[in-house]
Amino acid sequence: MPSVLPILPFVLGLVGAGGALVAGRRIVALRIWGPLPQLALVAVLAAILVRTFSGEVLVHRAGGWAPPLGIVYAADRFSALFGALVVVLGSAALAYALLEDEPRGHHRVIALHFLLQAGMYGAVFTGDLFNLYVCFELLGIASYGLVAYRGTGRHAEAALKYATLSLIASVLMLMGVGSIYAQTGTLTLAALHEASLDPAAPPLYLFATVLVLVALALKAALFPLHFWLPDAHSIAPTGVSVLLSGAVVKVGAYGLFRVLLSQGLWLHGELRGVLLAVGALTALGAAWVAFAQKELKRFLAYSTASQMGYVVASGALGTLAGVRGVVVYALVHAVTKGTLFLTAGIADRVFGTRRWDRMGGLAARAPLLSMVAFVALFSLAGLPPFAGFTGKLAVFLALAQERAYVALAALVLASLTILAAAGRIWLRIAGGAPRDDLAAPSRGKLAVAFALALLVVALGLGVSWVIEAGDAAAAQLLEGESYRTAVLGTTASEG
Amino acid sequence: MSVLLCGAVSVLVAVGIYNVLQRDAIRLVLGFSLLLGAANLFVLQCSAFFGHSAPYVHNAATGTDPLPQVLILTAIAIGFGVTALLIALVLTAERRLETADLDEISRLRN
Repeated sequence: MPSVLPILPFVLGLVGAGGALVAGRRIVALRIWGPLPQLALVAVLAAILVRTFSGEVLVHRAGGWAPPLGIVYAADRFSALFGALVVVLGSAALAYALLEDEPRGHHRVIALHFLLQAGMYGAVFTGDLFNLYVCFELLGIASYGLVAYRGTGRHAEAALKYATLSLIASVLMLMGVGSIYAQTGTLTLAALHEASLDPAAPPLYLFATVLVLVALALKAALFPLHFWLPDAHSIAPTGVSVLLSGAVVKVGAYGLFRVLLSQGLWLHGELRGVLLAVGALTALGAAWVAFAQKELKRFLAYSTASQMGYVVASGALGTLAGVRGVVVYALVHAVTKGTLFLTAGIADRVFGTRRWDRMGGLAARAPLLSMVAFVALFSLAGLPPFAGFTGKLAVFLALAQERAYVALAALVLASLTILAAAGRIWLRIAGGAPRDDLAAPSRGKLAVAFALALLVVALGLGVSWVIEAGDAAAAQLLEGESYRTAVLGTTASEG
Repeated sequence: MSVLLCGAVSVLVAVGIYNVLQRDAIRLVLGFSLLLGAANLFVLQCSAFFGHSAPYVHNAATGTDPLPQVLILTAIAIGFGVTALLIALVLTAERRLETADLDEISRLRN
């Protein structure tokens, strides 16, 4: 169905960035301008969700050019759910950033927030492989800036490390994209399906696709390529960590599975074992390292890496339940991790330290904050009735169905490790004698964290609803025909 | 032609990787611009030799494919922006920590 909706979030993100720069240093103008495009984004994403779940695939051809030459933006249920994930975390992160007292350059930070969001919407809704590369660059550039803007050596070092590794991924991806184009003559994801099924497909096609997939795996922080994540995510300012840890790595995983699953299944079969092993190793290894962390934000960053392992192990199965696990887990973990980073940011201010083993007495001093921390930490560990349980249920079911017992054991072990760590951390932070030297948490920021925590509970209580939505998205993605017909239009049926 | 381009790409990649692996942060940035250049050449080579005339000549049968050239143009612009940003990061790190040696930067960051 032709519609301007799929490209609208990307455009709105850019408008928001420009507007923030125009609003400039006037903080009042900024606080009025900042939420406006964000509200529009929420409305647009809601519209996309409603229309895709009523069975439409929305397609926009940029500039009116048809697929082989033009860039197509398309929204199906899979991308709509990831878009919704981005807008929820984007709103929370933006609200937090607007409430933060930045000494200088506040408008630039807000502009970068919008730019990062624009890149993520572009990556999620684009139907073109090269445009996917461009959007990843855009979100990369915005996020290096956001990690580094405080301007200390520590921030610059983390941003430099992040930028270096992302750039390696970019070079690999560019080469892969060029090579895929040379062999198939198209970059439209929907058209690649047919090209990859062609028995005469050149043997190099697998190699080229793997180049792109490795690049996306680096963006999603999968096991051998995860080491940039802890520094960047833990050193970045809180509002930025929320976006990086909650949304950016998920968009990497989205790209990975969009590219992989839009290919014919032979390609998928060859990579299944590798991805499953990578997922299980990521989950288990990162969980163990997370257990040893003393800094709250570093613990959260390593646990993000661990959770990405669940997403990938589930998607590697390629079954309906597996892809459903990807959608559900990404959604659930994004909201949980967003809440956790907000909590960590507020706790940071309250205690004046980043180390959780030096915190204590929160339950007596700030009961609401410690409640939010409770919900978020145990959602991360996967206890019902919180959102994390929904995600773990979906992934474990998928693995059990496919009899992938080794991976299942690894993921269960990783979950138990995180559960132990979460319990230990919450007891230390909340328990203990009330201390008088604590600052009161900022009310505005607490409200943002509380709203996200409510969402965590809602996603946990609405287990069946969330899983149904994931089912619908996964079924549409695996079937693929409706997406391809919508994107390629009549030209596809002729050829 | 194709052989020459292949050779150029491989030399650029080799020199680029060598420089990226050095401890000097400035050489890291230079290495990246070489790698980006190599990627662009690679894309050019992937499809530049399927036709014989420039894409704007009205002779569709032998015109080269314009799309990879458009891709490269975009990639060059992106590469320029990213390189500028990397230089800014390196300069900030260097000014704060008074060294451009990556090992030193890692050691001093706290």
